[in-house]
Amino acid sequence: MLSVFWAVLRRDLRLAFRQRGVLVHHLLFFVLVVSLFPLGTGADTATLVSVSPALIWMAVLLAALLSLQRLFRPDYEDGTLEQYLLSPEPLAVIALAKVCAYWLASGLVFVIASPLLVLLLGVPAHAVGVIMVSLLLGTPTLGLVGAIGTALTLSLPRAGLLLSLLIFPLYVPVLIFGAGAMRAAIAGLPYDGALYLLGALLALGITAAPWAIAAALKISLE
Amino acid sequence: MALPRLDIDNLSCGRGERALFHGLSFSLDGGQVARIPGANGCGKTTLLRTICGLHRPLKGRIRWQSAADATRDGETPLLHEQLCFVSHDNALNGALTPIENLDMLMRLAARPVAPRRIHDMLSELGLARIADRPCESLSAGQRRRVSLARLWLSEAPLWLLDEPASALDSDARGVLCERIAAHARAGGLALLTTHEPLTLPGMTLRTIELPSC
Repeated sequence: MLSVFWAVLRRDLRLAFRQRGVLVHHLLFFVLVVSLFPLGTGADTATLVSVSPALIWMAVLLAALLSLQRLFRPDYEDGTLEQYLLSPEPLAVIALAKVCAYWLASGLVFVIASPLLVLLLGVPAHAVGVIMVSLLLGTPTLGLVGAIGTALTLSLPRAGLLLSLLIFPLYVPVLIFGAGAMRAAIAGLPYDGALYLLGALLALGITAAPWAIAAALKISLE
Repeated sequence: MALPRLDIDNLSCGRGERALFHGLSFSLDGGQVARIPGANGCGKTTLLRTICGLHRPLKGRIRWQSAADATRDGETPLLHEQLCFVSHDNALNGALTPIENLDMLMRLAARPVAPRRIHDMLSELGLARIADRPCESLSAGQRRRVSLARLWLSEAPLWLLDEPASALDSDARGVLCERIAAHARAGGLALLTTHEPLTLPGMTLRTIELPSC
C-alpha cells in the first residue's frame, strides 16, 4: 500500500520535472498577478500592505485553479485512470499520492516564491515567516479540496468554470484564516490561532479528502 | 468443471439508464478463449468494463470462481488481482518511456516486476530499440505492443482485451495470438472483442454473440 503511494508520487514528480514548462507557467502567472496589482492601485505603501494578504491569497487560489485542471486529466485521457480504479491497492492512497506530488510541484513553489513577492509589496520583514507558514499549511488544503472538484468534473469537456463554482466556496475557510494570519502578523497581533485553524483544516483534508476524491473518480468513470 | 471459471448470468449492460443489451448468459472455463464480435456501439466495450467492475450491471450477475477456491464451495467477487484489462486506450503516458509506464502499471496491479525483466520482455517482442524513448514519439502500433506487453508480465488468470489487434501489423498479430493461446493452455481465460476473426494456433476460439436490444 505504501509502495504504491511512493510509486505514484515518484511517477508524478518525474512527469512534473519532464514537463517543467507547465510549472513555470503557473509560477509566472502567480508572480504576474501579484506584481501587476500595484500598477492599478498606485505606489501607496500603506494601501498595498493592507491589501497584500487578500492579494497573495487570491493569486494562490487562481493559480491553484489553473493548475488543478491538469491533475487527473492526462490520466483520464490516456486510460491510466481506469488502471488506478482496477488496482487492488486502495484508490484513496493513489489519490493522496497524486495530490502530494501536485502540491510538491506547485503549492510548494508558491510558498518558496512568496517571501520575494510580499517584500515587493512592502510587507514588513517580521511578517514574512508567518506568511510562509500560513501558505505552507493552506496550500495543501487547497490541493486536496480542489482535487475533489477536479475529479467530479473530469468527464465534462470544458470544466474550468464549473470547477471554480464548485471549489471556490469550499476555499472560503482557508482564505479567511490564511489571510487572517497574514493580517495579524503584519499588524503585530497574535496570529497563532489562525495558524492552528489552518493546521486543523489540513488535518481534516488529509483524513477525509482522499476518500472523497476516490469516490468522485469512480463516479466520473461510470 | 475447470477452475477458474467466469459465469455471466442474464446480464444487462448499459451506459447510464440506457440499456445496450439484455439477457446475456455464458460461462467461460479455464483454458477457453472467447471472442465477442459485433458492430460498433453494440456494447462490447461496456460488457468488458462491466465485468471489470467499472460499470454497474443494470441486471444480472457476474460470478467468478478462482483456482484458489477449488477446495471450498461458493463464489467470490471478481477481484482486481485476478484480471488484466487492456482497453482501447493504452494507459501509457506520453512523457514516460515504455519501461517507466510498464513499471507503474505493474505496481498498480500489485505485481511489481524488476525493470530488468520489463526490458527483457520488450527485447523479446523486438521493442528494445524504443524501450527508453518517450511514448509520445512511438507509432500507434508500437504503443499498442507496449501496452500488450503488460499481459505477458502479469500473472492474472483472466484477460479482458478490447480490440487487442487494432493497429498491429501481421507479425505482431501472430505474436498476440500465440500468447493468448499459451495463456489458455496454462489454464487462463481470455475474453476479447474484435471486428476481424483471429486464428489461435492449435485451439478453437469461441464466439459469443451479444443479444441485440
